[in-house]
Amino acid sequence: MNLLPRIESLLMQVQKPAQYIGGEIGSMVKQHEDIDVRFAFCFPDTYEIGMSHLGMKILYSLINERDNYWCERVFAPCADFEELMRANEIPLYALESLDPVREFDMVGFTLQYELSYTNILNMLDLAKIPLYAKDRGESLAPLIVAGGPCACNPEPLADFFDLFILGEGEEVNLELMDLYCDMKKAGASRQEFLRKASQIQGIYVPSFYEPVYHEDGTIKEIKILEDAPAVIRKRIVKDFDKAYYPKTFVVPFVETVHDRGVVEVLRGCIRGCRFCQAGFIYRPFREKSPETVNRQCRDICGSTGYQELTLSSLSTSDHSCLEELLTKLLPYTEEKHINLTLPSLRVDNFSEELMTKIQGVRKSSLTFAPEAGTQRLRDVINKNVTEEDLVRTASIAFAGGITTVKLYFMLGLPTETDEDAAGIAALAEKLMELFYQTPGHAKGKQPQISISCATFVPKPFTPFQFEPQIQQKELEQRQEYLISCFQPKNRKRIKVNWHQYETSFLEAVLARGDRRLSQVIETAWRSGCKFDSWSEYFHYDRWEKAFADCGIDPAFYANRRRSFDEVFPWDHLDYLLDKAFFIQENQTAHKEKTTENCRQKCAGCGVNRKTGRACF
Amino acid sequence: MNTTIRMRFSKTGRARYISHLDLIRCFERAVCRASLPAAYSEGFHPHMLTAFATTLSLGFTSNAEIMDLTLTEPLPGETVMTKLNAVLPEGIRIEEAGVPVSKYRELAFAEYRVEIPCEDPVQLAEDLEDMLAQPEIITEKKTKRGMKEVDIQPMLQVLEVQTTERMLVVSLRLASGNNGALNPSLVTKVLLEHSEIPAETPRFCRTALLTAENSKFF
Repeated sequence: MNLLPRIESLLMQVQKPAQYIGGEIGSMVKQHEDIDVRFAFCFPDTYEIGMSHLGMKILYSLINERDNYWCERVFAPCADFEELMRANEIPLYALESLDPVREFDMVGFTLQYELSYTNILNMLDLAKIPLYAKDRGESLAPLIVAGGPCACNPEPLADFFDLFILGEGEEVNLELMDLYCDMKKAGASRQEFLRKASQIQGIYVPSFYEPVYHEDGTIKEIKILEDAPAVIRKRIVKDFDKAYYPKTFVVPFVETVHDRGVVEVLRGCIRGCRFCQAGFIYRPFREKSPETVNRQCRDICGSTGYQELTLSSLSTSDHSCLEELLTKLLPYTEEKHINLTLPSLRVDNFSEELMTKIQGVRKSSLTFAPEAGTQRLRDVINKNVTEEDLVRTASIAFAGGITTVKLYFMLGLPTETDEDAAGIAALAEKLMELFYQTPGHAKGKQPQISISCATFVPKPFTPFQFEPQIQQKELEQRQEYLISCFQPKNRKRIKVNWHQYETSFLEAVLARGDRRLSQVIETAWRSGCKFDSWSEYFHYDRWEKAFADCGIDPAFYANRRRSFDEVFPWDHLDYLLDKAFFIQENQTAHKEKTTENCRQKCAGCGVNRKTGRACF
Repeated sequence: MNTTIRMRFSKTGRARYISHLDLIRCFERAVCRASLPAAYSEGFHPHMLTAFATTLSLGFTSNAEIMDLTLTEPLPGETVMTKLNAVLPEGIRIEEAGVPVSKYRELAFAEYRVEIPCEDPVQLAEDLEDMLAQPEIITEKKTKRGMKEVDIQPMLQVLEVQTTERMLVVSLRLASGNNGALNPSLVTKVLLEHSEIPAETPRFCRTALLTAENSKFF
């Protein structure tokens, strides 16, 4: 059922209507009669955010390479359009066919951040699909699935999904769809399909597992029902250099957050920062060869016409052949007037000449993420950046005419004291002075230094998964103390920003939550919560009421120190990482000792043993 | 040697929801996809040399849009048209390509075909006639400095009126360009306020861009 006429009758009443109507270059339209399995790839946020996401681009093209499968895109409508959709009974639809999502075989959500969970319920509701998996009956379709980084602890969402896909989707998504295709033709039921699917490595069917709780609320054990595996191991692609990569992207009409060509140059991270979930769950570290990256850059830019290109990864300067790669790529980007950007570069890694070429003249500010204010605390979190690094980088930048410096820190890190907060102020003031001392700094201009302090959120599969999140009162005291540390003359010159505590608190609850939170998420959504990561939509009072109504104490999840032997809600999910490694890293952190990066020395996280392959 | 190619293109179907700024970006990307030898401006932030005669309101269709593209080497208009049409999105089509004749600043009129679905097109046509018979047609127009009262009568010319069973179809020639421009949606707004006939949202299609001497831009 194509909804085009009904959608068009409303489009002139909404902001940026082009985002709701499809028809972009690169979008894949197929004939219904050729298709065996239809997949709706849902991003639980708006078009301009979702269309910036690389994972969706990869998996979209991957599925569409198969003639008999059709993957389409679905985003959360903005409030103005949602209101009109509801008033005019237009169900959530996919952008390629403009067919309702509920007519699809598989509906897949990507779980990118915890504060998008209410959007998932809102989208299921807009699609007129029952929220709870148990209410969706015996028929195979629509099967509601999810993957992405937050699938490493999907328990708060367990009741809403039929299955989760753990790890990288490039291979397992097609395996899953092949199984679905066969069983659909055989007329199988949902339950029969889930039983078979649970035997595929990387597929987690939550209804086959049942947590049993102690009286104190912690988990006693995870009971396995049916014939499901005791441990579900994440999937990784066998050969990253040869892994599937799209030759083209869907090119949006409306401007999106990251509206440019992207090529992923490496996956995983060698750094092992102890707060960083991405640094662990995407292991092992793997690189693409300079030839592969070059070919993919040319394919993407040639087919999309993008004039901006990003080499993306968690830490692009850790690519072992970056200089060679850029030497091959730069003549092409220059000829084609393509602006090449590299996020999170380390200045010390390669020549200044190359730096200038890449960043051109567009670079007007320097961004640095020391994360903590003192060397002691940077050692605790294993962020191996020294004040010297910062000073050297800033000197080069100031001498080059840069006047704006952005510094990113976290507050509420394990073992943190007021002294560490004072260190943040001291570092910023040191840079302020450094500016005036640097020969060749921009004359007649004041340096602009801004500090952003996020609240630390302990995450699963990190050495800090055992740690309590800082309490609101203590955090606010520390924030006040930090402000008091600035010399009066600097209080107006150095800008300090932070997010409200409640946002990070809710993120902490959901990140390490268990199945008892499903009803809280539902209650919060029913009371009007959605787009929780957008401050103008965030209503913590509604969440507070939802916790109270469900008899759940959120502090149990966020602010409690967890013992090393506690059974965690995600303990039956295997991300190739040993819990013993995290315990050891946690202890090393409390001894204020660093761990070398993976290239220097294997830290023994478990990945190489479990994959049977050396990382380097 | 840089040469400039002038093109007339249409914007129909779903493409009418593409805003003017988005359309410029869309064309630049199409030029890159087509590997045309586009010329760029000098300076720190070089940009592709494209120029559009005028903007088209969001939601309007058109078969009369005019744009210029500057190339670093001469290419036949036909070639540029074929290459671009191979890579443009659905709803955007180059219809003609050639050498520029008039300058954009000579733009004086735009013609539109306006369809107004309504209960009683014949009565609405009469109401339109009444409206046009007035010595002046005063309405409020949004300007950069807020709402302003204007007389749209001198900027408005009705070329043709047709009625079907459920629709009034009007061809309009309206002032356009630097010496004042009238948006056809303002005309229909005044008409529907003036009339008691219930009508649905009108549909607008631009059919021509003209100079003061009624000549086109090729």
